[in-house]
Formats: sequence, structure tokens, C-alpha cells
Amino acid sequence: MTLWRDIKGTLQPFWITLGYLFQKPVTIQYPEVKRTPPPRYRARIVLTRDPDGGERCVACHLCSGACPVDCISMQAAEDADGRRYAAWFRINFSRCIFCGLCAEACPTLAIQMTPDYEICNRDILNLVYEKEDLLIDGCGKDTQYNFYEHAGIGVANERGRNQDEYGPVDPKSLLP
Amino acid sequence: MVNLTIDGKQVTVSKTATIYDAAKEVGINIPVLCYAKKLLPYGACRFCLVQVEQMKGRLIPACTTPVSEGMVVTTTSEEIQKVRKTVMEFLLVNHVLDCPVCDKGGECDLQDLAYEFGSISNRFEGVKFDLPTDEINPLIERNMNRCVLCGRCVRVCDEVVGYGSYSFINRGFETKIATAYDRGLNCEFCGQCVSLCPVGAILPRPFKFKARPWQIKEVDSVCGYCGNGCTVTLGVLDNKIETIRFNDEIGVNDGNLCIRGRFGYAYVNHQKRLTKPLVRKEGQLVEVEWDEALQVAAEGLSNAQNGQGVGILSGARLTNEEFFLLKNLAKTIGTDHLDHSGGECYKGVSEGLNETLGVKASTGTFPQLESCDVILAIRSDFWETHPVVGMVVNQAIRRNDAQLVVVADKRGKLTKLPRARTLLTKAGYELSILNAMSKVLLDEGLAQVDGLQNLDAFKAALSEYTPENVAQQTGVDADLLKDSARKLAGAKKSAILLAYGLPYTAQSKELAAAAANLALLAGIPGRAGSGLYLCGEKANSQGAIDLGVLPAGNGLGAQQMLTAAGEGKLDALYVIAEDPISSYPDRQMVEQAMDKVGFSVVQDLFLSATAEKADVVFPAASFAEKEGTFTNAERRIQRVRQGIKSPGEAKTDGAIISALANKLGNTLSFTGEAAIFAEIGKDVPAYAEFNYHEIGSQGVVWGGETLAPTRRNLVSVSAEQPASADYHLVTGSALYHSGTVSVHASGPLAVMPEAYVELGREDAAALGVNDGDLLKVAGNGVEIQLKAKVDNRLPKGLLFAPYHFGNAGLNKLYRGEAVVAVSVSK
Ligand code: SF4
Ligand code: SF4
Ligand code: SF4
Ligand code: SF4
Ligand code: SF4
Ligand code: FES
Repeated sequence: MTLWRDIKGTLQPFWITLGYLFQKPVTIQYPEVKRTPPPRYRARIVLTRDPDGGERCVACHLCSGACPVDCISMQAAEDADGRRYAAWFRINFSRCIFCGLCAEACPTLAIQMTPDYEICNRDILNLVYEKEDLLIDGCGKDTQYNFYEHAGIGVANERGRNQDEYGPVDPKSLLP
Repeated sequence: MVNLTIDGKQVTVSKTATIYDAAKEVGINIPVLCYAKKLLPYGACRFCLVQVEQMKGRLIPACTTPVSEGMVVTTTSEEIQKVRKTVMEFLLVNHVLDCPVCDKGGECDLQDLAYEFGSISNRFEGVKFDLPTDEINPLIERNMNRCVLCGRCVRVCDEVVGYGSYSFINRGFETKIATAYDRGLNCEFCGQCVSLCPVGAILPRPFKFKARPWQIKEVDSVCGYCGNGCTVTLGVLDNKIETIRFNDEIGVNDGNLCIRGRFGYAYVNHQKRLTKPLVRKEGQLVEVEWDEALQVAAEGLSNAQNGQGVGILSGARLTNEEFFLLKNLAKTIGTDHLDHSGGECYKGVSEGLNETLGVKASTGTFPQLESCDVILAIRSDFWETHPVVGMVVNQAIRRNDAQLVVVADKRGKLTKLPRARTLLTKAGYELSILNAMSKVLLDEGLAQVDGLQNLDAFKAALSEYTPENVAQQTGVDADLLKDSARKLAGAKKSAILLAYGLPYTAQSKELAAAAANLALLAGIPGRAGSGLYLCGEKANSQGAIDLGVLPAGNGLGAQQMLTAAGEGKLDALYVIAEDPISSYPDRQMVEQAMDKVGFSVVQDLFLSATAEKADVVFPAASFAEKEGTFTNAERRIQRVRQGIKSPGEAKTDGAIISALANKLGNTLSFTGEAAIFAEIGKDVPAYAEFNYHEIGSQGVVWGGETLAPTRRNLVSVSAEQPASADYHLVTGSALYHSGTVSVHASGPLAVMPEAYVELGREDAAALGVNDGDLLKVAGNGVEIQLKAKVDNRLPKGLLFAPYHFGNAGLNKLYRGEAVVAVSVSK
């Protein structure tokens, strides 16, 4: 019985190999040939903009707080109109594990994962991306969302005048 | 004690406890929002609702309901959770969705509760507000759109701080917190409301957008400014103090802070900090390596010691351990001329109290003050020098109906407290009033005279000080004076407060003795709950006295050293942590001392006016950069902890002193602060019972809560007659500054940027002066110019100028007298 088992164990893999020999290969000739990953593929991270062009990131530190390898850092600052933004924003892609937790944490949909997986580099320091490198000219996956249309901070609209808010009322108007 | 059951657990608590306190005792956490440990129960938010078996049919707020015998409490059930969740929804009806841009995010009670209750949607819809942010002051930002109306700010500012900035205005949905006339906040900026606001409605502006709470490393240490010794929590990010937080759970003084502790940290990070040793070469101070600087200093000092001697003068920034090393150094050098900063001014403690009570410290602790019935404050400046003790006095008044009596030459925050009685005297006559009060007690037979020494001599010496005489002299109402004395004698628990410091040099020993005499007659020293509080101006003034950083034997005191140096009778001065040219009375004398002395070493954080004249300057470390212990004005020994590294090559005072001692041939070395602390115990018996590592968050109080006097000796002291003139100038502390260090801190500077002279409206009108005008003040043959500040605090003929700003030159004019006779013109 042992002998039979050994013979089977030797031939069967060859048989399987032989079977695959005549199929279309799974691997591709990267980098000559490139594959398009699905849109929700988790690779290079970008910072997106509001539909009206403003930077979405409000430097709330939630992504950096959520990041399990601590590769996001930033400094918050305030604009003249009361808008909070990142004075600088840095992702160290040599540490990033592309888990997507930052994108999940982001309350403003600013930080998003893109399918661009080609970020290998010979010099590891080139993998430290600054805000200029991260910020793109577009909304990314959600073309509608604008945090300031929902927040009470009064940047996009006056406070209390956002779509899901009522404006202030004058209770004295209810007096007889 | 009361027994009750909470969630099936048996609890026994005192009958003043609330259900919330009792639950906490057994580790059951009831969610709260408006509750704060140091405030009285209020019950605004209804988060803490619980069910009580005996009060079925409705839910009871745990934070306001006192426990009663046999109570059976359920803290969580489906119904309770449902109600709490509804409360949450109500709160969120008009709460803005600002979390990502709100600086409170990450430590916001509302956020935490919303997370805990899983509130992700709201059944109710309501109005959102568009209230402008209040940013009119430089330190505190208020955004009332985020307010949850818990009332904590209103309560703390009233109950604890006694300032009363806030109140609720409007009704119903429109209710909001506002300042007077809704004009924006302008107060004493203690930041208590910032600490207590559970949400992001009140935030510290200097910290705005600097960091999220989880990035900050928190280090509990002791405030480096005044002798109050408040626990400050350093918020450290990247080796920089970004903010000061508070600790009301376990901190000393309930986590209360004043503006200096809360906002005065920026000097630690200041760009102008010294980072390298300097040595004078060809008339210029140039940067050198440590070794060279130490060598030059060691040679200079030992040469001087072989000549006419070395004087060592140290400020009270040093820890006890560093003071110990300093004493050692003095021994190595062989000099007796060792003194701690303040010179004359602390003689009240080291001599005045010593002669009367045989102790050299306050006899009570600050928490005891809160339950005193009668509190006598000498000078109204106590609030300015020790703001957080002032807050305890305020609580004593508000919570326990204490009677406050202030003997002062001007009004101030203390005199504005409810029911405060002010014996407003002509400047410089406090001593006479104390003597008169003593006389009243003796004459009316109210005094406790058992076991008092020197009673007869004392009685005889007081004969002049009849209330009527003194009243005539000082302008105080005689009946009020008598009644105050009677109140003090009649109280079960009473306290006398007196602060000392550089601007209060005049008659400091006599004044302390007079206060001690009065305390003895009123039976205060040694009685549990009562106390005579003589509080030092600086963080470790008491430590310096405990460790005996005082002239030994024939040694010279601070002022004498400087005089001797000026007369060429001392060959070297070693000045540590003090800028005598800016802060000491009589600048000419100090300048002359620094000019004439053959060799001088200055060790400081900044290139101060004194350091500029030195031959060697050592860059030292601030309180945030070292380990050790401070002893505050109530004898509490507390751990100082290192939060950040020193800039450049700056070293701690202890390290510098040790290195210098080494250069001078002292081979003694210690491994760490704990070893030195143990060593201190051998010299100072009171410290021997404590182990450095066992000093907890509340510190340890040497001598017990009530320090027993070893002597009850009445010492007759008589008042000096202040010079008479049309205008008198007094100096003192301003609330926003402490010593000369805070003038390097951006927080206090933002509120009080420069020196000023304060005068009453009457005088201002007579002189035709408006707020902000430049005034010429001349006295002692010197004229200086100061900006005028007009208000109604000062009586006619009295001017006040704070002493913190060295560049204003106030100490050219002020030479240590109680009042300076001046002339004023525009
Ligand atoms: S979570 Fe989003 S908004 Fe917040 S800091 Fe990160 S990218 Fe910016
Ligand atoms: S106060 Fe709290 S809940 Fe409100 S926006 Fe700020 S972090 Fe969010
Ligand atoms: S900072 Fe202090 S004084 Fe000012 S409002 Fe707040 S609690 Fe009151
Ligand atoms: S401002 Fe803050 S502390 Fe004051 S009532 Fe509103 S939420 Fe409470
Ligand atoms: S300066 Fe004094 S009162 Fe103010 S926080 Fe510091 S120790 Fe406390
Ligand atoms: S915590 Fe009890 S009512 Fe607010």
C-alpha cells in the first residue's frame, strides 16, 4: 500500500501541472503588462477636495489616531474664515500597511484609498509623502459630500443654515 | 454612616454622600455630565438618573440625591438606559456637528457619552444656533454653539474662583451662558472654566489646534511659581510643553490653578533661554564649554574665599535636593554667607515666628482653611500672591459662612468677597491694627493667656495701642476693629493669613510677630483646624527655610551680602535663580554690588539684568526639566517631575552645583534625588519620616496637619511711622505675575504686558490723569515714568505699582520701606 501511495503522490502533481500547462496563465508579465485593480482596492492614499474645491481634510487627527502603525502626522491650523485645515500633513508609506482604517475613520471623506499600487522606491525617504504629494484635485469616491454643509461651523453656509439644520428662530415671535 | 444597597452591593458611606458618591465607592460608574467633584451638587443634565426602590415611579438624579438608610438603588436597567439615551438625544438636538474641527474631540464628555449610548440618530429636530465665538481675550475662547448648559463654568467661577464671570441668560431653547451684558469674557483668566467645561465650548486659545489629547504626554508636577504648590499637569508634545492641564481627581488644591499656573508655562519653551555657559572675556560674555566655565567659576570662587569671602544667594526655584547640594557647596567653599532669595522679607518666618512660636512655618494646611469660622487676612494682596489659597477662602465664605476680615491699605479681590469686612487703613499701619486687636483681646478678657510667656511686658508695650488711638492714626473704625478682634477670639476655628515676598520687605519680622501674638491670644497655634499661615512668595520658599538655606553663624544675609559687596568687602557673589537687579528693593545698591564685586557667577534661565553683569553665567533648567521635591507654604512636600529635556546644554541647578563642588574638590556624590532626600532627613528631622518614593499625589505634610508650637512667647513689636507725604506708593504682587519669571511667559504677558502705576479715581481726577497716560513718579531722589491705571481700588493718596517688571525700574525708587513718599505729576 505504501508503494502505491508513493507512486500516486509522485504522479498526481505532475498531472496537475500538465493540466495547467495548457490553460491561460494566471500571472501576467508585470511591468510590461499591468492589471487594473477594482476601484475599492486599497493602495496609495490621497487627500481629496470638496465639490467646491476646498481641502476636505480638517486636520482632526482621527486618521492618525486610527492608524495602527502610526504613520500619519499633521499639524492643524486655522484659516481666516474659521476653517480648520492641515498646515502640513505627512504619510510615511514605508510604514503604511494599507489597512484602510484611516479612510474609515475620516469624518470628512478627505483621506481615501486609491488603486494605485505602484509606489515602490529605492530610497525609503521618498516614501514619505507630504501634503502636496497627497492632495489631489477632485472629490474621489464621493462627489457630493461636503463636511461644512453639515457641520455647524458656518463655513459653507451660515451656522444653522445647512440642509439638515433649522435656522435659529425667535421664540418671542410666538408670543401672543 | 448610612447603609444602602446599590446594584446588589452593600455600601456604607457618610450621611452627606450622594448616591453617585456611594456608587463610586463600590466601583459602580454612573454616567454624569454636569457633576464635578469640587462643585456643589447641581443636577442640570439628568444623565445620572437611577432608580430607587423607595421612590418608585420616577427616576432620581444620583448626583444630587443624598443617601438614606436602607436605600435600594438600581443604576442600570433597560428603562434607565432608555431614559438616558433620550436625555442624550435632547442634548444633541441643537448640538453642532463640530467634532472633527473641535479641539475637545478625544476628551469630550459629550462625545464619550454619545459613543457609550450609541446615539447615532435623533428622533427630535430642533434649532441650531449661530452664536458668534467669543474671542475678545487672548487666553480663553468661548463657542457657545457647543455648550450643553451644564453650568459647570458658571458654578466654578462663582463657587470656587469668586469672580462670577458667567450666568445663564434667556429662557428655554434660547438659554445660553453669557458674561455681563454678553460682552465677551474679560476676567482673571484662571482657566478654571476651561478645565471644567465638559465639552468644547470653552477652550484655551494658546493651545488651539496644537494637538489631540491622545498625542499629549501628561506629567503631574508642581507649579513653579508661588508657594501655593498647586498640582499642574504638563501636557508635553515632542519635548515641548504645549499646555497645562489640571488634575481635580488627585491633585493638590483640587486641581485649582491661577493664570500663572494655567497659562504661564511659555517661558519654559522661550527662545531666549540660555543654552550654553557664558564666560566674560575681554569685557564680553562669550559662549564656552561647560568644563571651561566650571573651571573659571571654581577658580574665581576659591580665590575669593581666600580673600574676603564668597556670598551665595539663591532663589526659591531650587528643589529641596538642590538646596541640600547648595549647602554642601557652601561648606566646600567654606563660606557662611548663604541666603535664600527674599533677604529681609522672610525674616517673618525664620525669625518672627521662631521667636514667638518656636516654629518656622505655617501651622495649618490649606484644606483646613475651608472650615474656618473667622479668617483674618493681613493685606489684601494675599489673593494676588497666593490666588488658589484665595479660592479656598472664597469657598470657606460661600460654603461655610466664614467671616472674612481684611486688614489692608487698599481694596482687592479679597475685600470684594461676600460679607468680607475690610479694615481699610492708611498704608503701612497694619502692624498697629494687629497690636490694637491684641490689646482688645487682653483688655476684654477674651484672650487665652494660659502658658503665655512675657505677658506682662507685652501688656505694657501695648498700652499705646488702644483701639481709639489706632483708629485715629489709621482711619479704621474703632468699633469695627474691636468687633473683629472679638470675632477672632470667639471662633472655634480661625485663621490668620499673611504673605511674604520681595515687595513686602518692610517690618516683615515685626508684622509676623504681631500676627503671631494675636494668634496666640486667640488660641490659634496648635488648635486643630486653626492656623497661622505665613506663606512664602516662591514655589520652594518654605523648603529653603526648612533646609536652612540661611546665613549661618556670623554669615551675612542677602541684603547684607549685597551691601558688603557694594562696599568692596566681599570678593565674590554666586547668584542662583534670582535676578536681584530687577526684583530686589534698592536697585542702586544691587547694581553697585554687582559692579564692585571682584567675581560673580549667575545661574539662571535667561540672561537677566543681573546675569549681564556677571563673570560667569550658567544656563539652568526650569521646574519642568527636573526631578525633586518642593515644600509649599503649608509644609506639603511634593514631587516635582521632569516633563521635558532642557534646551541646549542647560543643566539642572543640582547638576551645576554638584559639578562646581567637584571642581572645588568635593568628591561627595549622590545617586539620584531619592538618595539626597534621605540625606536631607539626617539634617532636617521633620523630613526624616518620609521616603522619597512614597510621596504620593497629595504630597506629604511635615509636622502634621496642625503644627504644634514649641513655644508660646509674646514678643512686643512696635510700628514704624511711615513717612508722610501727599502721595504714598506701595508695591506688591499683581495677580497675573509671580516674581520676575512670568514676564517671560506669553500668557500672563498677554493680559498684563507692562508695568503700571495704579491710582484711585479721586487722585486721577485731581491730577487730570486718564487710564494709559504716562505718569512721573518721584521719590527717594529718583524719578521714573509709568503708565497710569485708574480704578476704584485705592483710597486717596495711595499709589500701587507691581514689582515684576524689572525694566520699569520701580526698585530704583522702592528701597524696602513699607510705603514710599512720592510726588506725582503728569
Ligand atoms: S481623518 Fe480625515 S479629516 Fe481627519 S485628519 Fe485624517 S484626513 Fe484629515
Ligand atoms: S463639544 Fe464634544 S461633541 Fe461637541 S463638537 Fe466638540 S468634541 Fe464634538
Ligand atoms: S477664567 Fe476663571 S475667572 Fe475667568 S471666567 Fe473662567 S473661571 Fe471665571
Ligand atoms: S460653557 Fe461648558 S461648562 Fe459652561 S455651561 Fe456650557 S458646557 Fe457647561
Ligand atoms: S502660581 Fe501659585 S496659585 Fe497659581 S497655579 Fe501656581 S502654585 Fe497655584
Ligand atoms: S450629573 Fe447628575 S444631573 Fe447631571
